[in-house]
Amino acid sequence: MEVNGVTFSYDKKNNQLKSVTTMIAKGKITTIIGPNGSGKSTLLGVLCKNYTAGSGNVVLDGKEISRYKPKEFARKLAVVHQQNEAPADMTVERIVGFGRLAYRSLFGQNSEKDSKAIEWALSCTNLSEKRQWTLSRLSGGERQRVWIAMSLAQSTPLLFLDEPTTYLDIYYQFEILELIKRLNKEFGLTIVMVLHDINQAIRYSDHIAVMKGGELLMEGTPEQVITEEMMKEIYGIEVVLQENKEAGLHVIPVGTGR
Amino acid sequence: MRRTVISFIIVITLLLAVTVYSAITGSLEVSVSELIRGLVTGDNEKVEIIKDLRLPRIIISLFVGACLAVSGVLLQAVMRNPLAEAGIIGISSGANFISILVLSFFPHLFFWSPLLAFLGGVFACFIVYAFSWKSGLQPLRLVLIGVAVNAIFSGLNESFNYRGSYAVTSITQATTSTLSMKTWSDVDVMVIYGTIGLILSFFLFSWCDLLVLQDKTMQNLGFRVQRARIIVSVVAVHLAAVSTAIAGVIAFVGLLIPHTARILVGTDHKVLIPFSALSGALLIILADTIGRTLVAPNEIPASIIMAIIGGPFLIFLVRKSGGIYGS
Repeated sequence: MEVNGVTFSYDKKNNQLKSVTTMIAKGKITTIIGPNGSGKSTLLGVLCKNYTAGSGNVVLDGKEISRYKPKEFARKLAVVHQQNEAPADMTVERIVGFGRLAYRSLFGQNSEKDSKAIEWALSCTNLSEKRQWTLSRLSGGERQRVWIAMSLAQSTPLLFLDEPTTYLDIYYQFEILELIKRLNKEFGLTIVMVLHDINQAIRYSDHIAVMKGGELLMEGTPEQVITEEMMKEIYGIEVVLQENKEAGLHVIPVGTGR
Repeated sequence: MRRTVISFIIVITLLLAVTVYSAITGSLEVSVSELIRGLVTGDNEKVEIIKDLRLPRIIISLFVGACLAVSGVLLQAVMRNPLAEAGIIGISSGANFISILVLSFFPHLFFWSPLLAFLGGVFACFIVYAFSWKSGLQPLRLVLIGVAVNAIFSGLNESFNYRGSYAVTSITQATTSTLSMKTWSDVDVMVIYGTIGLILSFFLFSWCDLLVLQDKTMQNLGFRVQRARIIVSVVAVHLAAVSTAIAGVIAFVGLLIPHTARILVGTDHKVLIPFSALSGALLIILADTIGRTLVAPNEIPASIIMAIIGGPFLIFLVRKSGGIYGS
């Protein structure tokens, strides 16, 4: 996926994105980080066609994304949003089934392919046993897995996630991140996600892009990008970088430096 | 699942019982066997009178109830708002206003009144959407705008009652809801347009199910959200408008029935839509039957009975279930 000089503005006055250009590598995990209001979720929104770029374009498999039909695009790229809504009495299986919409006509029945995709999505997210459960009975972590399963049922080569770990306990955070990593390693999904936690980004990404003020300021491998200078410049905090065998590279914030 | 089946059986049984009771009760009374024999052979005078005066009213009650209830289900799905209902957000009064306005100046267009009502409903619905849309639908703003739109059209309708002496009686009849004095030609209009709307709405169940998700989620699934929203809205307005054109404004059915139905059979629209249609029919025929037998020979309009039994019932349900759809 190529991103060429993309700008975007909600109100036509201030640009939330100022000419972002990058390249998203196939089969890798790319993480976008940056402070609040830096435009990372907005960028994700433009890449998955929730927002239309003001200028510039995004090219996926040699075709501009604005020229894809809705269903055609939904067979290429799936998105897991930060917050999701559904009636509490909906079952897991029904929500995951929505993921097959792009493969069906209005009154189309479940084909064998649909059932297989749903099966696969449920087993990846460890929800096979709970397929008949209603949302109201699930924990926060399980609910997030349901929405991931819905996106997986879309059987797309690209999976985007907007802050998939926010609002979750630390156990569930890592459970989700491990799942994402497995999807990338075992099934070759190209992952693009927005994360808040720098250490999680380091641990689970092949590639990190750093945004601030609507601009993509730097990108590269975690080791290249995450430096004491970067943390000072982008987030305005003093950190100590450490590397050891068990934990790998990690940052320890020590204050605001004032 | 079992609860769904039982709910369906109870509603269908009650619906049949109340319909038959309604047909044989009133200022003219016949037995069930007399009624059936009379309808088949056509040589019972009493049954002939019932056929001319009471049956149209019964059939219209059933259809009005079904249409208004389903219209409520669709509007609540499409506006993602538990309070969306044709009577509350101004669609019924808009429908009413446009038909009265046009008919006051062009009385010969009377047979087009369902179409006029539809145009009025679409107009009101459009205003509500246009003013409440601000990068998405926000539930509270939508209801407030809808209430305001309703107030405007209701006020305009009322003003017709006071504008002069000569037209008062005829217009009053058009603005207040009434199910009495219905003819078989009213039945034709109601049944034809109502059936079209109901059948269309049954086919929209999968869209309604999806519309509970967020807009961006639906887009990412490859769903054309705006197209679906427009089509579902048009069907909902059609159902409300045809009911209003024939029976006047009856508020509350579209709110009471869908909420009750969700508690009983869940939010799956494949089940919810048919169940709401049956329950809505039951509610209006019940209200109309009570209204015309309670203080006979006088009548209380079904809309008033509706409000009196509906209000407490809704409070009871909301208290008991502890949860409201959409919150």
